[in-house]
Amino acid sequence: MVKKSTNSPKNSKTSNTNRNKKSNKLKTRLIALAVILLSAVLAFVAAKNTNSSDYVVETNAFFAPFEFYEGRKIVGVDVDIINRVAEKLDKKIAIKDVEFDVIIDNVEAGKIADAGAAGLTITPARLEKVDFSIPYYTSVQYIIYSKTDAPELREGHTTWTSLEGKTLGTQTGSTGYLFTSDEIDEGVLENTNTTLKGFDSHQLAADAIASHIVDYAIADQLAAEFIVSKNSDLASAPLYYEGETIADDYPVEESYAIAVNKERTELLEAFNEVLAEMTKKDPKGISEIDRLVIKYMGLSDE
Amino acid sequence: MSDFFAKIIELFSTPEYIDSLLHGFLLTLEISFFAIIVGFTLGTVIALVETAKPSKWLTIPKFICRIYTTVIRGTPMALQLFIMFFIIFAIRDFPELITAILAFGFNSAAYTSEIIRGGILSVDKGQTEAGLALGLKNSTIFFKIVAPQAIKNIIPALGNEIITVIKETAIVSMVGMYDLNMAAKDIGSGHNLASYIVPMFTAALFYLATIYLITFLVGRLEKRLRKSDLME
Repeated sequence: MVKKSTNSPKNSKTSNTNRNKKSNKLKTRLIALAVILLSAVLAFVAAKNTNSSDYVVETNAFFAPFEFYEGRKIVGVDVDIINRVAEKLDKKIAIKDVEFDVIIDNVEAGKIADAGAAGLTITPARLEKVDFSIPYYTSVQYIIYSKTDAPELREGHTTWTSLEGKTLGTQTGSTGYLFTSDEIDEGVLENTNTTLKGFDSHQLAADAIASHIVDYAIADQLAAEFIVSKNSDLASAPLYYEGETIADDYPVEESYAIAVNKERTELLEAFNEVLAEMTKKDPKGISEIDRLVIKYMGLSDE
Repeated sequence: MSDFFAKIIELFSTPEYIDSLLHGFLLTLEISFFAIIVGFTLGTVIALVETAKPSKWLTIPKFICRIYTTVIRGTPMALQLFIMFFIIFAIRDFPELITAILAFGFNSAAYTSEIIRGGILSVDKGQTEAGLALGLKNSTIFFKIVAPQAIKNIIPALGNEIITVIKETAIVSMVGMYDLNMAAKDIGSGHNLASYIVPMFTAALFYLATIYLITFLVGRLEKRLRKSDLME
């Protein structure tokens, strides 16, 4: 009796290990199959798209006329600047489209991007992280509003004061966003119950007006003009700081520059050289950059 | 409102917009298709490891699988996509299509593994025991007894997961890939239609049509598999 009971567990144990071995073999085979399948998929995809470049410049391609998609290709003023730099250095520069917010951080890290060209404004906080080229375009911040609900206008422009207590929308991380949040935190809009909402793009912020999510949208001049020209219900006006009198009001301006990783001095120098050429005004007072802006705006109006 | 209809007409009468939408749609399908394959393969492996009998050399893989499914299912997909693009695959010139496929594939694997695990566990233990009692090999028991029944239970949930992956790929536009959602954003942006609403609805139709087709196919497959149930 006793012998039997001790024997039988032993038997079942050996047969169990046998079975385990068999099932392990099966599993190894299945896993091997899985690995082969996975690598086949990856090899297929990799073979389909590999191209190398010397530099990578990041942008956010929803900012006409500086960068925008045209038939799935990114074009615009910034792209022309980059191509000129590539020519000068005789290097290949790739342009990558990413979310606007991450550009400065990626350029600072220098791992996947060397420079950023996205209508970036020079700010002290950004200067701590990256180097900036010389500015190449100056833009005024604009307020986009519904024609049925216009803010108080002073001789064609509006001021921060008229935005008091309103809900404002703009592209997250954009200059308009930075300026407005500064004013709300510790500027003229402090303690006025003004709220700022960040959107994916200026366009979405403008769409939010009709949906009554925001009262006004804030965008750079050219972006605002584009949006207004295509939407008959919307209008725009430049945004000014309020002076003593209306004549003393001065615009909320910003200057665009290219952000370059702090260690890529050769790239920064090339950008500066190219931009110096392109911002030089001809006898008529128009620079090459101005001409490109006009060209790309005209092209998109068709 | 008249603006709305004017924009619908403009969208459908501009060949470039239609072209952009179709190209975006193709990328969406590409990412989804490969991500589902990656997710299913990896998910099956994880499920097999997790349902395997506990043994000494499986303790660590089991533990890793547990952690993996917990972390992946416990964090937002958008965050995982950012991590994949800006940290793990922060390699210059690395094809972004692969990064995207892996991001969605790895995410889907965690869910698929749970679906498959559930399917395998749903088969009564008595059936395995019966197979053992008959002296069948473990592989025979798995492939001829457990798997066929498990698959029947897995199919509906798996179809659901495929649908989820297709729709979830819309967030690749966050990292600048030109998928269907990005096409809608592009067409809606300031220099084109200058309104998001119409292109977003159009893109939604594309998603809806694809998903309707998949639901239909999965339904057919399910019916087919249930046929034997009714006969018995």
